[in-house]
Amino acid sequence: MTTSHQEDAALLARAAAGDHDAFTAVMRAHEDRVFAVCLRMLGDREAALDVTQETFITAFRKAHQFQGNSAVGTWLYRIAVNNCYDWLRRHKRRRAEALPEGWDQADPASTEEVEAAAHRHEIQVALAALPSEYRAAVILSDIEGMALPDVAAALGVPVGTVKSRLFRARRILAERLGEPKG
Amino acid sequence: MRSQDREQFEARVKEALSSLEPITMSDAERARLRQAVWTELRSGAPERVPARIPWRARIAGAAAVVAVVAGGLYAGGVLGSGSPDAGLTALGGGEEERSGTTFAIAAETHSSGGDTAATSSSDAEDGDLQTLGTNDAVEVAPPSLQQRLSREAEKILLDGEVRATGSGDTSCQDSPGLEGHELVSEVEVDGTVYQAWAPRGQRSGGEQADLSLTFVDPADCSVVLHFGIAPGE
Repeated sequence: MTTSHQEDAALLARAAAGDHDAFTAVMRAHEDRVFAVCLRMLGDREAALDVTQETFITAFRKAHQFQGNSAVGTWLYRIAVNNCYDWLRRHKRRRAEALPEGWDQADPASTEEVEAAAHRHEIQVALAALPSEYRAAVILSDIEGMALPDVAAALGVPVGTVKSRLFRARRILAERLGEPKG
Repeated sequence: MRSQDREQFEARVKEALSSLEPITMSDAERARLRQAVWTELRSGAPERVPARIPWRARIAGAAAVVAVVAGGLYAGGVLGSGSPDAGLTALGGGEEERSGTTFAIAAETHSSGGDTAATSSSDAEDGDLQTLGTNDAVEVAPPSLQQRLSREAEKILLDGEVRATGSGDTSCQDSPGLEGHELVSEVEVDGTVYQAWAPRGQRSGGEQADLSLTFVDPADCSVVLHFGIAPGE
């Protein structure tokens, strides 16, 4: 379920005033995407659930500070990415482990699907091996499809920094995926 | 790397990433998440304060920034003689990436570490993001000179924003750290004009893989910041 930016902001404002149903609606609109970002950052489903939980708890407690200058989703991603960084620091891991085999929900049956699954695993391994700051930029921009200004807002860095991180991250991925360096 | 080649390889990487299966939670996970969130919020438990950035890391980050500045002053002869890389070398310990990017990132890591309590000016400009994250105790602080110059460097290197040098003063050309460099731009920060020098022949605009700028105070030719986007990890 998705809601417009205005609807999201209105729901969050109501949540800040104590409307739990409104906050539940915000959670339902964004929980999958927040979880997806956390899982791709951390590479562990349980950890991703924990960090997603922390993200929404923080969001509820700080809902009164949201001023509507960014989209609610961007605001939530910012909390989630910071929580992911904290989790990685606490667990002394700068790079997420590769996602375990079998987490991919696709159920390969044909040869093409087996090859596709192997290729996806290869990509996941390469993604998990990126430095966390680069991985966050790639996840938000190239996987979640966010615009660069929104990625910059979510990461709390200038757009130029996002561009440089994306450039280097994509080059590292290209090298690891066997693409020519150019 | 040619612009066309870069676009092609970026397109291939993006295509590869787009082939990843979308992630969703299972119904059980979703129910577990919602129950856990509401249990915590309704329990009236004190606000959870996740682990703060260890003080040692904060001090290390601050020390890294100070070391960079000191290294620059050292290289510029203000503090004595030294190598142009003194500032970069000072960042070596504890950083994941041993490259010029480490330099820029170190300043940002210090900022982003504080950003978990929103200490950057960009956060201060957007009230939504002002006190997000997991640490709340740090006050918003204005960006440092290095942070502001880093942002200017990104504009010059990645966006190709080159400002014509008014005076064309190249008297710092033979200073330590600027060997083989040429003056490419000037930036003004708090009323002081800093010169941006780049390796001779380097083009701005993000078309080259190796990009670096050295900011110099023309008053004494001291290196204030060396900003690099370098290859390798």
